[in-house]
Amino acid sequence: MLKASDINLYIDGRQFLKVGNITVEPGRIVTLLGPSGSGKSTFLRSIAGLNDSKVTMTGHVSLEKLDLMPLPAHLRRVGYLDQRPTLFPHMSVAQNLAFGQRKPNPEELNRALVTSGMNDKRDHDVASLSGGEAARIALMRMLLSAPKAMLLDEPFAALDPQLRSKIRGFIFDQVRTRQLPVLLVTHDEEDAKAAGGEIYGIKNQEVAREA
Amino acid sequence: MDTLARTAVIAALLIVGFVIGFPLLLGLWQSLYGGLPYLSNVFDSAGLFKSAFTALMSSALALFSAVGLAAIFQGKQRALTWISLPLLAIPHAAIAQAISLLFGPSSFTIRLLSPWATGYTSTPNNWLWDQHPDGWTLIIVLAMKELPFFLILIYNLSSSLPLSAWQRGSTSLGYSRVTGWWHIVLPVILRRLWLPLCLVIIFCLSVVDVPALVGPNLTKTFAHQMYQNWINDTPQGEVLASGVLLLGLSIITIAISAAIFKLYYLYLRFKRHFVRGLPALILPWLGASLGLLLMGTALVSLALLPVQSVLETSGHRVPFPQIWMGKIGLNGWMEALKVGIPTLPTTLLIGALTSSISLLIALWLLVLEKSYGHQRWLETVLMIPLLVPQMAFLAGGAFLGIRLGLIPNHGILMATWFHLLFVLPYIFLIIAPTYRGIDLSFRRTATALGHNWWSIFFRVELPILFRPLVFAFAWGLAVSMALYLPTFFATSGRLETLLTAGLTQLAGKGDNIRAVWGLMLLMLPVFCFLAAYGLASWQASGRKGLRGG
Repeated sequence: MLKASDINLYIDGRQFLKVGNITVEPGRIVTLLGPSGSGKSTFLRSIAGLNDSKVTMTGHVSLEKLDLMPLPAHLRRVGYLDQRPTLFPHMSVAQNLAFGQRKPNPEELNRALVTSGMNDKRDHDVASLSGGEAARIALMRMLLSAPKAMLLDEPFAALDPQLRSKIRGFIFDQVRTRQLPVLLVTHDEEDAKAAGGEIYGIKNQEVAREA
Repeated sequence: MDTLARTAVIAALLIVGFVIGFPLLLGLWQSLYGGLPYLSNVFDSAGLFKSAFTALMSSALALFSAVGLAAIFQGKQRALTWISLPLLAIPHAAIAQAISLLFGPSSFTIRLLSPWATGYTSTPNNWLWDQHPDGWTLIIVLAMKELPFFLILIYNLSSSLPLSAWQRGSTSLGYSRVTGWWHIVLPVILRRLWLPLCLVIIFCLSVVDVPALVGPNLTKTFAHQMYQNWINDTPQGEVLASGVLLLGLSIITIAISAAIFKLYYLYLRFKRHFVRGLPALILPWLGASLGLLLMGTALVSLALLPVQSVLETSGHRVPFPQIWMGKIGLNGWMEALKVGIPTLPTTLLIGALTSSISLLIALWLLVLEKSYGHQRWLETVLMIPLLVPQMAFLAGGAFLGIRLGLIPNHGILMATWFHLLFVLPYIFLIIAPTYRGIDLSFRRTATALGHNWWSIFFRVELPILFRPLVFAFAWGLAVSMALYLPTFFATSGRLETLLTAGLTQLAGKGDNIRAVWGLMLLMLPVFCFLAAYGLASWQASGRKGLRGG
């Protein structure tokens, strides 16, 4: 279970977002809905510990009762995906996936390639992948790193409408199968509905539950 | 960043202080302390004037030509960059050697043009252009070498400007492409070119290997004279005093260039009429024509080197205007390679050590910057050795090194140290924009995948930076190979690199041997860049995302 409470976010010492209480149960996808620039991505990155030093966060964030706040980002076990799938250009498809593994495990890697439909492209250059393929690899790589929660930062925003619902279905299926608590940030109500979990909105720089 | 990394970057700061600050400050102090009492002994107004004149003229000519080329050949950036880069990479001495051969009274080219074009039926006696006494040959060679530097800088600076929008605006107001660029882009770019211009002026004031090859020789430039004094065992105080005078001359010359810039911007502020049509094209075309002439001559002179190198009996031994006596051979190569090849290990070792250490320090500094923000003062410290005439602190540093027993006993170490002063700033300038430009999401994603700082640095950032790193390494090698004074002072002239050996070997030699030396000086950095290109291409093979990164 991922839990965030009494969160205040500051940029250069100026408060810009307040979050009361958000709890995400395993296997649930909770959505934070809000317009661009409202600070929802910064909130997500702060949970993962990925913000730069200009952003500070106070409050409590825990994952499976473990306090995340004092932990360095790479030890939090919180997966993070943003709207542009970031694949490392010097690695092949398979190497990108392997980079996510904590310990080498060829069988698991093969399964990930099959699941993402990329088994025949394991040695391909990532620059040759389509947007949908890159998104699938980025997700599978994140899952191979065995996260205990997932943060999805508008991961479908850069995809065209047809691909969007396909990739959305793929990602949601994968995280639900693994019973991960997922916090999704989006400005698209369709994504929020498809997620099926609670929906939070941002009004007057404050996060409040909508549905 | 963990504690280990933090310690590492603090150590880097200390190393910069040691590598740059220590020799620079001690060398300057030694020059001032030991030289000030002897200032009046070394005051040579003719040499000082000639230095200021040649430095200002060559810098102004290079800048004006580069600006003209950029204005006239808009959209041809790629072609001009491809011509500029090789000229930028090869040592000054190679071009000086090639021009000296091209402009010589008995040169291959004069013979080709005689008597039908020049009217000469015998070697001209009053020929001045191989080592013009007023310094014009020096000015031409320096301008040839600095023009590509300015041109590439202009392209880099332009890339951050909204050129298309500005052009649409000026075209809709009735200005041609060139005139619009001249009125709108030039004032913006020129302001940012002042510091590079200062670097070029300081370099032109300090340079010794080029005037040693192309003059002027009757009244030498001040730095050249100072170097001769050192060789001729002039008392230490007087040599140091010359360094102090050179420092003063640099300040005055920079002040003159600053005043010219100020006047230009004052003129722009009160300008109420913007010239259009043909009259507005005169200056850009003049600059571009000069630029084409300079670059073209440089390329022709370099392209002729292989031909000259195999003409066995070229030069003075063949009756004028005959070009050759039917003999083509490799004797020039044999003779030059016999001396040149043994210098290669030393040349490459110093270059490789300097480049490797510079790369490590530059990377550390950039990591530090990422953690603690952009430290502008640090960049300024790195640039100082390029902003102070080499003679002003190298002579002092060398005397100090001799007194401490470091020179000439530890030649490689001291040469590497002195080279670092000049290689590190360039390497930092080359890799800084790429390192700063690494997509933040790479680090973010790798962190979210559970990788720590070191793992991300070595497994993600360094491979992505591989291409700029190997090119920076090659660039460091090229800069190191072209450093004459630092090598000379650091080793008291006892350790020979390709460049120092080349300069001592050239006097009185035939044109074919001189051409081979010019070629060797040219080819070594070219080989380094080709190797860098090969390595980068190998790493990027099958990885489209790495090309051009």
